[in-house]
Amino acid sequence: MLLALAIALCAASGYLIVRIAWPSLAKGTDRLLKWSLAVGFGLGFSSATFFVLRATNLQHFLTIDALCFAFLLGWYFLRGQNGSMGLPQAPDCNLELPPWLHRFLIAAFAVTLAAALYSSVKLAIAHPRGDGWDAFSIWNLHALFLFRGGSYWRDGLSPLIPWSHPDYPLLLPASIAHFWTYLGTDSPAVPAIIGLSFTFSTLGLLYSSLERVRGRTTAMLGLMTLGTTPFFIEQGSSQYADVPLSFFILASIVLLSIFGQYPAHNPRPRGFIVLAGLALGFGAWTKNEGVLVVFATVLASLLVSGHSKLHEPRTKESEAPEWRAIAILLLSAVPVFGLVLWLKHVAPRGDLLQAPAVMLQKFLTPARYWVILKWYSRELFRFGEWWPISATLLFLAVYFIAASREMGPKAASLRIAIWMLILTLAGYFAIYVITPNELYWHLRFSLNRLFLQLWPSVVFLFFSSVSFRSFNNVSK
Amino acid sequence: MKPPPSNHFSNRFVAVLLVFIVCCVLSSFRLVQQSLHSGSSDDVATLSNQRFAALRNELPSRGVIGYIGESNDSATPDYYLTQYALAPMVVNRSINHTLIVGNFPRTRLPQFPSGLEVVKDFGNGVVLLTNKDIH
Repeated sequence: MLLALAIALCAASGYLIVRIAWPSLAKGTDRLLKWSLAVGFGLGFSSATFFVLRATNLQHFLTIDALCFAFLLGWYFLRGQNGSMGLPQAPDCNLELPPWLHRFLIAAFAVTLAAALYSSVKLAIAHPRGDGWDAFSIWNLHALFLFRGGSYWRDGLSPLIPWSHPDYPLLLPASIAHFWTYLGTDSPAVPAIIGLSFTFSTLGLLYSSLERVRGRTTAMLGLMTLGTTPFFIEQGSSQYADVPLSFFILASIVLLSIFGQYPAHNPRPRGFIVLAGLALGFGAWTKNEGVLVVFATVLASLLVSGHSKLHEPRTKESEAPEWRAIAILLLSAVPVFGLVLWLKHVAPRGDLLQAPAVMLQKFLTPARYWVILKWYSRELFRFGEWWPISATLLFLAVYFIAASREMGPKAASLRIAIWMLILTLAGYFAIYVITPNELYWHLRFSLNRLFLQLWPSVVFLFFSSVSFRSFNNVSK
Repeated sequence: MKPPPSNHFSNRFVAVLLVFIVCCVLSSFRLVQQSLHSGSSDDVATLSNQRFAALRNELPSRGVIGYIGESNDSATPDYYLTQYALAPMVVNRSINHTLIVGNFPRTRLPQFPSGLEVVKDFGNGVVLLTNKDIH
């Protein structure tokens, strides 16, 4: 009963956060988009709330959760629909296929969705404590210290426990501990269900956002691409934090894209920027790579904004909101980012940074760059465990054979998203250059998961920016 | 008047889309096949928690405890299972502690180093030891 209440409060809080920032009357598609966002935001919010209560040694979880919900509900009703702003109408760009091909696509879509659902649940049942030692020795162990440790939860940050990475952010462990506290026991079903929730809300978010920008047919192709990526489904059930992080990265990109759909000269609804900033904050609260994504997003926004200012002269008045938007984005990430900074302050230092002289020596070793570059290139086509053909190869085939060459990104939000991913990949590259671990070992056991974190966003960007070549265009 | 949809795309486009969809379906089959071979529930943690339940009741609610275990391929997993079962106690993989947990799920209890003395044998390869050299 208490667990059901916790789930209801978590989901409702997430939904209210989304609706407060996005007060429009939903049509069917946007409802799926909002609920997909609500799942991740609800889990992030309940995790942050639980952690604050744990850190301040407060015990009344149910009361505080209920108060938070009441506060959000009050805010929602006070705000009402005054700020209501429907989304700009998406361009009519639905891919109209021949009827037989459309029917075939729908059948394949149903098969792949059912396969993804079946496999996820089967894997979650087969590995109730997660598949792989990181799930067990890092994420669930931290959750256990937060749950059983009470006010002594910080014992879990002890450097005496090898390979438990006490500096890792706690969105997933605190979220698990939150539900365990309501349940009164450390049931393995909780992390498994949270993992599945993130997996399917990522799929829902991808589908609903693509449907908004490109229509239903393209949305089905996008969901099929992600849902049939075996590595995505396996990791979603493995109780690692990479799929949750991929959700928040995708959410920030989707929300920035929606914001970008509004004409620049009109007052744009800042709620989308606030939600994007929150998503970035929750990403940083999920994994250390999320911190890198925050910096990459801000840098990408500044780069695109600066470039626009130099090459697309505008009036001072029209340019000002872009800088304001970047400031709002950053400010919205601050509350959750503050938790990350505080954790970094109380936890032992991570193991990636070494003495400056050692790191400098590694930076000046060209052989390391060559090794990393080779792994990046190889993993690009091997990644995802697709069979029989890699999805990245299929993307190339679709682009060169079936897509229009007018793919070049035009919207600022799209350019920001692409730069954000490029800068994040560059950041991962730099981490490999200076890693204190054996380089081949580190690449072997982490690069595919780093690619996975960005994969849903890549699928979104590919299908939202590619224009399929029609017969008429080809004949010209 | 809008032409029928079937005239909209070239054969090349339709072929690429078909290949794309078929590859998605094949990848799905592989996913299902892999999950079918993922075996049945292997909740070693629950079994481990049961092995350590009696010891946990005898330990203080928090603190640091030493660890000694088997020295085979499963030594590291065994250690993490112990840490998981005894949390929020911190289990340090060292015998330089007053209290030490001994974990020998597969072998008989070995001859312990001098200074270590069995306080209590909980069965199933779980023992509580003390290091007399540490005060």
